[in-house]
Amino acid sequence: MEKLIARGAEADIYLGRWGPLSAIYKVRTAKQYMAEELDKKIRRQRTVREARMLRAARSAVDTPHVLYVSQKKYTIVMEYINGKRMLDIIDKSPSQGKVMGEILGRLHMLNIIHGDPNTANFLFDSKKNKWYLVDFGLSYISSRKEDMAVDLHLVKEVVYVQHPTSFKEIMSGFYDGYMSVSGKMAGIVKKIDEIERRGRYARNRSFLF
Amino acid sequence: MTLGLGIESTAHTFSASVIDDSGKIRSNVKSVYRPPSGSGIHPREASRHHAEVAPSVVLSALKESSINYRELDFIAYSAGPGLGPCLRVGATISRFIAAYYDKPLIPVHHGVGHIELGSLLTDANDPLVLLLSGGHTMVLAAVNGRWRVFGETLDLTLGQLIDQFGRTIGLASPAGPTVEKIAEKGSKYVDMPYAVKGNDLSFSGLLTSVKRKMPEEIQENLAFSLQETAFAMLSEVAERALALLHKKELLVVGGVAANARLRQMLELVSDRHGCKLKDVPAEYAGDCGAQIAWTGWLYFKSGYSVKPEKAFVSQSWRIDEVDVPWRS
Ligand SMILES: Nc1ncnc2c1ncn2[C@@H]1O[C@H](COP(=O)(O)OP(=O)(O)O)[C@@H](O)[C@H]1O
Ligand SMILES: [Mg+2]
Repeated sequence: MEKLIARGAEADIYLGRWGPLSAIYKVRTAKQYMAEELDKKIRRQRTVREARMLRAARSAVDTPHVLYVSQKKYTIVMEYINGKRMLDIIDKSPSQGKVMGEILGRLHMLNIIHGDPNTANFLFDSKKNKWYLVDFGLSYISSRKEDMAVDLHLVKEVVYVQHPTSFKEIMSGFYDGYMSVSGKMAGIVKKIDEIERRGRYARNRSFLF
Repeated sequence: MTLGLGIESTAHTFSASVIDDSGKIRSNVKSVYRPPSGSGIHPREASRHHAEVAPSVVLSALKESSINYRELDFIAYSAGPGLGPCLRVGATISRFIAAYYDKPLIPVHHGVGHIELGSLLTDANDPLVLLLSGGHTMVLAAVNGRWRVFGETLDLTLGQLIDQFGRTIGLASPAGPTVEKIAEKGSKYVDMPYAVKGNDLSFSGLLTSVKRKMPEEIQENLAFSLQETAFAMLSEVAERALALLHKKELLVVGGVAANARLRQMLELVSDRHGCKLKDVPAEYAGDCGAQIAWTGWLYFKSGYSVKPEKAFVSQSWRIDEVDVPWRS
């Protein structure tokens, strides 16, 4: 009765019913490549965390309602958002970068770090004319600018690879949106630079010899 | 027939290789610097080693392919990233040969070298790449003439993590193969921090934790748990990229790619996402001249070279700042 509609990095996503409602079953299935203890630990942690953060984030952004959580089956049942992913529309309308910025900015104002802000995790329900944010398995609470900066760095990384031709336009909208709601921008942009410059992100220092 | 010489000297390995334009590797001669056990690589010592073996390694590469300097069409060298003193040895000898015999000189990015040789040897077209060399732990895809970074480590590389763990149990670097053998004898999974941040990874907490657990746990279980955790993190990031980018090939290159347990895990990852694992024969997975020679040929074909007086080395050279015109 449930239909597999997406296979993400960590979960299988089924569309089914919950009582009278259409509902999404997000099932974290066993990873055969992992040591069993590690696999179970991660699936348990992320299921619990995601359910908790989907709820916690609601005072700042729209997230699907959590209907049921089974720790034993590593499953979250949640409201079905009938809509489109940012991933599939942003190349045609790169100005939507602003929406992502606003959503992430509002989340950061609550001191919630998303942890995986890729463009498949922003869903638009055109009937309700609302944007939803999903996929909170890597989310956590933090007021550190550095953690927020890592979130922004992830957006940059993903948009760069997934939407190379509209990268500039998307990101400029993104920063506008982020700044308009959070005002934390200045400090955080400096932090992004820091992250990107340190260690593995080090920039070119070439010399003649 | 175009013939090129490639010289690699970014870290432990000094190597020279002759390759032709059909992608046939005519020779691939290596000499590896081994630091005393329990200590890491010392750049000066390594460069001294390279300087000593360089002339004979280059000569053997030519001899094995039965050609002389005059028959070469270009000289390619690894210009970075890597250890400054080591890089200079390879660059200096390459510049000398190029200037003396008046041949085009081609600086090559070490990481691009791994990827392009890997693609050649496994027939990969448009792969998602895991670059796991000593200085890189990155997930990449080609976009518009560049290798774009999809995710990477925020601190240590996987190679450094394994080497540093090896050092604390008294192994010489590179410790990968020995750690792998020790890990095979471990069976108990010891809880360790698992740090995936979106598409990025962090290994420093893992190293701290394994060091702290040294007194109370046997080496075998620690090595096992370290590998299981670090490789699972990497596999997950690979999965994230495959789920988003829908690539049909997963190419693994760099020294750590030789690890059998890692390959097994990535095989399962590939199956789950309907893609093909492309792994490079062990001889060519680690640092070698062939990676530089082949990439040199790709640049030569695109008409790119530098004047000997413009030869450069770069200790920290971002792979996503390097133009790779044949990928546009
Ligand atoms: N509540 C939902 N309603 C509609 N679609 C959803 C919902 N949750 C997830 N999806 C779809 O499934 C995909 C994967 O879900 P996600 O929670 O992001 O899992 P993963 O961690 O595997 O990426 C999303 O990109 C989205 O397309
Ligand atoms: Mg997702």
